[in-house]
Formats: sequence, structure tokens, C-alpha cells
Amino acid sequence: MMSYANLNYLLRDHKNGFYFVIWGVGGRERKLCRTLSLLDVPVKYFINTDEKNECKEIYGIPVCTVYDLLYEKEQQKMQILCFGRGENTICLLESVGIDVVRQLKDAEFYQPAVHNDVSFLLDPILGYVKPSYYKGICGLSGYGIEDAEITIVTLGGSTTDDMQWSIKSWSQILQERAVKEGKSVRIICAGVAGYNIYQELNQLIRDVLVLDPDIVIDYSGANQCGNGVLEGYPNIHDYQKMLFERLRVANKSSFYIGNLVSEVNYGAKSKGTLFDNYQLMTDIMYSICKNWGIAFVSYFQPVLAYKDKFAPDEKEKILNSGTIPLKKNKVYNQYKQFQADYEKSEKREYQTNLSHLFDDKNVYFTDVHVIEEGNQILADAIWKDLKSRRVIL
Amino acid sequence: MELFQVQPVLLQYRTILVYGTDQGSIYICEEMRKKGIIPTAYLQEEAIHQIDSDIPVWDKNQIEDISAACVVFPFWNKKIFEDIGKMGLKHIFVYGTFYQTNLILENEMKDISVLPFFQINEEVKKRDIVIYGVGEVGHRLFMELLNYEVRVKYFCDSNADFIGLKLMNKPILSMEDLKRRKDSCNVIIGSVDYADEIEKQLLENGIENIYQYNG
Repeated sequence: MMSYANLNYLLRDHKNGFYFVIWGVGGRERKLCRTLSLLDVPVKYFINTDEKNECKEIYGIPVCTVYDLLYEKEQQKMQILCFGRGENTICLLESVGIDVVRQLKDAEFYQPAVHNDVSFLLDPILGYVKPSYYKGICGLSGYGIEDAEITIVTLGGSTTDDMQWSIKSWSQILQERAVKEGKSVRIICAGVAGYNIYQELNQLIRDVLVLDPDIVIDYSGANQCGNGVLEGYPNIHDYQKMLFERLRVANKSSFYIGNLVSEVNYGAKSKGTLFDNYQLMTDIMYSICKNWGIAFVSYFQPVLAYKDKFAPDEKEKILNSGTIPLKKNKVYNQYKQFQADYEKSEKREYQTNLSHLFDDKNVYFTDVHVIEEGNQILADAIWKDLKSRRVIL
Repeated sequence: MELFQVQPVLLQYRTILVYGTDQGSIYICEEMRKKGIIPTAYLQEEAIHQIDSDIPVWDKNQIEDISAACVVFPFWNKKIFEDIGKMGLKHIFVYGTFYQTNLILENEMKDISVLPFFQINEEVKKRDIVIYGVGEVGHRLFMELLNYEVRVKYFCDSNADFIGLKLMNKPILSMEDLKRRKDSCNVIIGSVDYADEIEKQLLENGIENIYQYNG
């Protein structure tokens, strides 16, 4: 069954006028239809791709063929829900002119900005890394020409990661903005979903310095608190913990490395606050970059919890997000404390506070992720800041 | 009133076995006893590991009448279930989490019937269902009911900020709205920490069809 979050996204699209077509007529598809019915979300029809199956209707809902999609008058408002985005499905839909990226949604992982099926690679230092390569280095993607005058590397978590969603990342938009202003800029996006500041630091040391960038931008803060952080160990993200716990369990039953692997070690327990740790890591990143002659800028990112006022439909969005309800809870309080600690800390010259960037905008679709319009606003703000710092002339 | 009830078919068995002897299995035994169900034995592949309990540990050879026995599992494992099915048992009950319930309801086994340990109290479905509370427990309860394909009609909450909004496409009512519908609704309390307080408030407002969800 779809998770809470994914059902929530689907409901949001339903509210925004999208209608749904289910691809397939099997047990899972019928269960999905029943689930949507319980949520008062109608299904327009099923698509039957099995010529031998003469099913004409399911639960009173018509069963059509893929060619019936050709006659859809409002294709741009249609969402096709499909389990697993198999090659055959995609080929068939493309053959009838359906914009697959915008309209085909994997029913199990339904996301408003088409969440892409990303399978991460294991990494002994970072835990895992996204499966994209730039200049032979895994976890990176590039925008712009290789011999551009200025090379910028962007670091961060899922709000920077350009593989998670089908919308343009702020890294890509920033590069386009630079080109529009006549600058020769190449941007290498090193953002990976779930990365916290400690992984970004390690990425900088191992994978970024070799690229010889002119500027390193770190856009972070969201993964330093909330549900992402292992209590007492702010440099361990929950995804890493999940990964290693599974490896530990798998080790017991499936492979043998002698006595080397029996438990998981998370290192020294942190003594300071979440913010103290964050500040320490960014200071180290700044020192490393300075030592290498690289300009370093750190942006303290905005999250939904930092907003004091919400637009009327935003309140409902927050309530349904399930992650930070309007009622105060532990996660919400952690974020607020983190922000308060940042704002009262001694400011570093390399830092810029963007935590209020979206205060009067309605761009969030989760507690931290924003729609493409949000990425546009962010890229604009970063561009202006880089110019005011004279990092870009 | 309780929202979840033990599967009636389980209560028809003379021999109720709990699979395993680890913490999860011991916990299930204790919970079953609280509900007045006394497990016959723990079941293990080889009954060599005895535990400090008045309930014995058996292996499959000690089950006298297979047809009168069922097994309660603290986890989902399709392979083990299939093996149990080949032994001749007809029912497995999984005392599990929401995720496991989902697996159970979505998977059909060939030789054996796998059911969640609990089923929804049928009485609750006879009226429109309202979940009181839109916090974490209310969210979780909603998903649990969705898993069991039970329709929720409304939410209700005391926080004025939420009234008039929708949660999972269901309107959020005020207490006054709920009072007007009291004869046509069953209310499930979607809170653990404030359950008693909420129950008291509902009763004071004349709402008596109340179900408890223990989270």
C-alpha cells in the first residue's frame, strides 16, 4: 500500500484538479482503486494491457485500452498510476504521445514532482551515494561546459540532490541564471538525499577537492535535526543507520567476514548541541577550502518549521504532511531550537542565513522540499548573494 | 469499547502455539494472557531452548492433533509460513505492526491462511466513523483503518486552528458538529496520552459510542 506521505501527495493533486487512471487490472491495482475510493478520490478508468483479458469494468469503473488515452481531452490534468515504471509501460505510453515524466506516477512511490526510482550505491565513507557520474566520480552531476571559467560545486541533502525529483534543481537553475547574465559557469551538483553536514565534509575532502573548483556552496541545516539525526550522534543520519543495521542483520545470516563485523559503531557521542556540531563542521569545511584557495559559502536553509505564519491552504498542507503538525512536537521544537541557536551565534563571514527565504511564499510540498518555483527563488537569492560577496564578479 | 478484537477463528482452536522463544514471542504470550487466551506452547524448530515459563516449548513432533492447532507469529516470513502450511496446519495469525498487517492483507498463501491477529470490531463499521484527534496517533489510526479497508468519514479535534480543514480528504469537525451527528457516528479516540480526557469530554457532550485505540 502507498505510504501516508505518498497518499497525501496524491490527495493534493486531486485537490488541484488532477484525475487518475490506473494502469493494469491486477490485484494491486484493484486494491489501489479501493483505497482511493475510501479517500473519496474517483478513478476515471483502468487501462488493460492484456489483450486476452476481456474485463470491461471493475467496481463499476470502465476498463479501457492504452489507445483510449489518445482521446483524452485534458491530458495535462491526467495522472497515470502504475506499479513499477517498467520499460514496456514507458515505451507504450511514449508511442501514444504521453509525456511520461509528467504523467506516469509509480503508485507505490507517488510524489508530486515524479519521484524518480533512484537506487543508491554503497560507499564505505559516505554510507551511500546517488548513482550519477561526473568526470568519473560517483555522486555528481554537471551543468555547463567543462572548460567554463568558473566551477562551482554545490553540496547538500535532498533539497540539493538533482536526482530525486523531476523538477529542476536549484543548482541547474543557478547555472542557467549565470549563463543568462553572460557568465561562463559550470556547476557540479554533489547533493545527495539524506546527507548531513558530516557527509558533506567527507565528500568535500574525497570527491570535490580533486575537481579544483573555484567556489563551494553548502546548502544545509535540514538534515542536522529532526527525524534525520540519530540521537546523540548528529553526524549519523537515519538513512545511514538503517543501511548499516540491515547490513549487520544480513551479515549474521548470509555472509561471513570472520569476527570483524558484529555490531555497528556510531563513533563518539556528541557533547554539544546540534547546532554546535553543525557550526564545527562548516568551520572545518571553510578552513579546508581556504587552504586550497577555494571560496566557500554556507547557506542556512529554510524549512517549514521556521515559518511563523501560514497561508490558509498551507495550514492544511502542513497538517496533512504528517511530519510537522501544527501542534508542537519534538521534531518541530528541535528545528526551532536549531534556528534560534543559529540566529544568536557569532556569525561567520562565510555564512548567509536563508531560513526566512520562503516566509511569505507558498512553495513547500513537504516540510523541507519545495516546488520548482521555490528552487527558482532559492537560485536567485544565492546568485545575488554570490555577487554581493564579490565571489562572482 | 475496543476497536480491535482477536480474530474469532483463532478462538476456535484447542491448541494455540506461539512461534519462537525470544522477546517478541514472550511478549505476545503475555498479551494473549491479558486477553484471557492461554497459549498451549511455544513452537520451535528444535525444542532445545527452554525458557523460564509455565508454558512449555515444543517442536512440531509434539503437536498431537495438527488439525486442531494454529500458530501465532510475532513477525512476517513467507518462507516459514509456507513450511508451516506443508506441516498440515491451516491457520497462522500474525501479531504484528501496521506494516506487517499490510503484507498479510496483500499476500495470498497457497497452503495456509495467514490472518492478522486482530480484526476490526464489526460494530464500529455500523455507523459513520469519526477519529477524534489529528496528531500522530490520529494519522496512524487512519492508515491502520485504511489498511483494513474501513472508511473514515470525519475527524474531530478541539484545536480551533484545524476546524474546517481537511485531513486525508476528510473534514475536521468541531465538538459541536460532532454532537449534532452523535446518533449516526462511532467515535474512535485517536490519542494515547489524552485518551481519558477525551473520553470524558465526549461523554459530557452526550457522545457514548466511543472506541479506544491503543496506538
